[in-house]
Amino acid sequence: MLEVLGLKKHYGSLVAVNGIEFALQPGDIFGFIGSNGAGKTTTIKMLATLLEPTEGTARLNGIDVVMDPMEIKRRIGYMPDFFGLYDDVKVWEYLDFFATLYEVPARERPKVIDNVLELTDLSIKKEAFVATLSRGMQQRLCLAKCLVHDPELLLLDEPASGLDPRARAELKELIAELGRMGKIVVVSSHILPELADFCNTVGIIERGDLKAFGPVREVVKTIQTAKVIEIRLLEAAPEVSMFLHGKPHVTNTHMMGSTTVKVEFAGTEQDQAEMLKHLVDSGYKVTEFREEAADLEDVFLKVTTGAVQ
Amino acid sequence: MAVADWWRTQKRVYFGNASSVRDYRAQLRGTRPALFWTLYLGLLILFVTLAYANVVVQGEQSITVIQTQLQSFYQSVLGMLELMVALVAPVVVGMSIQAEVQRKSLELVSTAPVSPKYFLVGKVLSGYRYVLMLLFLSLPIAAAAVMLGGATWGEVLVSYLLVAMHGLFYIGISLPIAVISTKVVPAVIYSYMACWAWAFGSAIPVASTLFMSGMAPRGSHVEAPFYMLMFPGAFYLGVDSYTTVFGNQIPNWIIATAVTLIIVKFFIVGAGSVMTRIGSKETVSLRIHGLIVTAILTAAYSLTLLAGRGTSITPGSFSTFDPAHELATFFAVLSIPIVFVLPHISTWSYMDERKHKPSGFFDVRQVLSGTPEGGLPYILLVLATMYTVGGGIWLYNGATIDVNTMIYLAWLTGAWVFFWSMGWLVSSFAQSGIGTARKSHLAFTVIVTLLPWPVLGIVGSILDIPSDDIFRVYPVAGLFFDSTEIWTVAFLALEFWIIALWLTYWAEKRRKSVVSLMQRATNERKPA
Ligand SMILES: Nc1ncnc2c1ncn2[C@@H]1O[C@H](COP(=O)(O)OP(=O)(O)O)[C@@H](O)[C@H]1O
Ligand SMILES: [Mg+2]
Repeated sequence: MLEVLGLKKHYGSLVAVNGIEFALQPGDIFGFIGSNGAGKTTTIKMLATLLEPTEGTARLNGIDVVMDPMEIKRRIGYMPDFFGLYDDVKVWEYLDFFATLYEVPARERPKVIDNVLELTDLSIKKEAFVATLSRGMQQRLCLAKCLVHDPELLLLDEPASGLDPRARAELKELIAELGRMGKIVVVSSHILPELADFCNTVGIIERGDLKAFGPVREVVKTIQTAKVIEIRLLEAAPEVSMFLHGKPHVTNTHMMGSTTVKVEFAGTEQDQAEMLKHLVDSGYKVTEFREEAADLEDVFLKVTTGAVQ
Repeated sequence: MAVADWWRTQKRVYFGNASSVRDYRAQLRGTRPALFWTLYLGLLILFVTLAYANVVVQGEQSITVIQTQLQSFYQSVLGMLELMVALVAPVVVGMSIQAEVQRKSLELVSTAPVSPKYFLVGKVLSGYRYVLMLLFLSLPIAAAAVMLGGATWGEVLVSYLLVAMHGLFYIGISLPIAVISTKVVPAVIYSYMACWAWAFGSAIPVASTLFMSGMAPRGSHVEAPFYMLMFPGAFYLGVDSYTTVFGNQIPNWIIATAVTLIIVKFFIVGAGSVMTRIGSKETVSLRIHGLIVTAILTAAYSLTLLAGRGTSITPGSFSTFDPAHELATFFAVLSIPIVFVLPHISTWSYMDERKHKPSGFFDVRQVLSGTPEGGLPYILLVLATMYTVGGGIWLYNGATIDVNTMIYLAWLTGAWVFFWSMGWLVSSFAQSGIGTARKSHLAFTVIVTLLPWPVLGIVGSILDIPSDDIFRVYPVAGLFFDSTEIWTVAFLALEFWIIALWLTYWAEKRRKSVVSLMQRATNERKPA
């Protein structure tokens, strides 16, 4: 379990991270979202023991990041936003180097290296020079080096940036696999769609403050003020908008073409069912009636433009 | 168990060091290394052919003439090796570390559970491989010199060991520079500057050493200061010299090697400390190593000086000197290396990392932690170590310590407190820790070198005062003139202490106002 406790970082008079708090469980894939300069990298570097917090700390399974950095280092895998690989060595030598640094016994190293290469789908590149790998492969190699010591926590800073859609999809699959292996995975991004579909927890950071945190659905729910229901009819009925407008809990309606109407609705599910019944009773032939999932992107925009709080 | 753990750690750092293994794999690859070593071998062969042709070309000559010429041939081989090492060693480590910083691979290593020492030792080992290769490839030539009668095997082995030590020393010097620098080019330039300043600057003590040893012929078994062997300029003259330590003749190459290793360790710990946070194991270790190095250098240097005057120092043999002044000069010379660390110890800053923020100006509990308030206590502790060890050895050898000695020591201590207070004051006018250290270095240079000679000289000539009188009131000058007038020394000591106290008072007033400014700024930022 990772507990972040009032983590704060000042650069002179600039407050880069302003006392953020959250907790994650094994298997959690945490999407850490914020625009550029929001404080994601600073937070991740503090968790990776690379930066000393001005105040606060974090604990991984009870081990304190500030008090016991060496012990923490053994338990985390960190992938920075910009990283350099030694390009003058072979892929397996690169992993061998990190396996040695992480005190993987010499006897087990070849097996460990084969395993992480397998996991990151780089087995065929084992004897290739690092310099010859594509950007996506280098990204995966860096992830592979994070895994040689079987860490409990993975800190991935903007791992998807600069990848083509295919490489990005592969990376997502890999990260999901790590979650299934019971690791805590922290993935940051400034582009929301990158994360929305495979994280089970998200946090939105803006100017050093954690504005929202929780399971994706909950964050969406708390931020969302009204749900949107999309209703499609069999026949054109432009007056349906007027018909719904005055009904209970309906705050707004929009016609989307002649057969579809979007209703902003503030009532409960019970009220929702009532409204459907009412429509049908009034002779409208409803072919589709569904709650539109407000996506994270809307939430993100609302939060970061100050629409919330 | 503790011993086993310690051994395991040492083994991990020095044998099979991952950094070194990784670099080794890269070093062996590609055409560039092969090209480099081929070029080197070619140069060696060319050089030897030319040098040897010079020796034999002159036809019929007496054996002794040829002998001398062969010896000078051997010396030029050593000189060339020394030059190659001085060209290669200062940059190998700096470039390798800076390359890691530039390509951002150092960050990945920093999140691995290894100490900075592990990483630095790895870099030293992989850089040192180049130096050893240089020496190894030239061995056949040295062997030729032995066969031809220009040198003996013993001489060759000791000389090679010493050149290897010089290379290690250059690597040591360049290590903290590489860690402090942010770019490759400055790292390389400053490393060359530092190493060559050492190589050329050492010509001065070597010259006086030659004088002291009575210009004994090369390789003769004579008593000479061990540090002669650490200086690249003329070490080969003293390969068989020794130092008498409590009645035993210890070969100088042993002492020089040991001292080199200790100083290089000190540089490694120093670079490690730069890479870590305040109060880290590395910083504490650096400060302890500083004390150990101080003690060892003091002991080695005082034994050398005493040995230079013959094996038994009786109070009588001091009668022609002023022992107090002698001892004070000895300490003054010994304390000069403080110059290099003082700007970093005496400065503080509120702008950057917590590393430089002081919570006072003197706190004995912080003496080893590296915080600014531990700076002055640490300088005093270094001086105390020096006085205790040096004074002890001199006392043991029959020197006496009297009131005059105490006055000299008050002057010297005052000098360093004064320079510390200057750094403390400069800090209140600067922004960042490193910037402060630079400004403090500059102020130091101005006060010690620029001010006394040109400025005071001009002032003297304008006011028509003899320059001796001007220097007499200039406290820093106490070191440079040979006046044994104890009242002058007492006056200069007092001058130093008063100025130091006043500067400290002023600096503290400024520091406190900076603190309250910073606090106000922090409060304003907090939401109501
Ligand atoms: N070393 C530093 N010195 C001063 N300010 C910094 C430093 N590193 C980051 N910052 C500032 O801290 C803020 C947060 O940066 P960062 O954590 O890199 O944001 P993100 O990763 O979310 O884009 C930014 O305003 C940035 O300019
Ligand atoms: Mg970032």
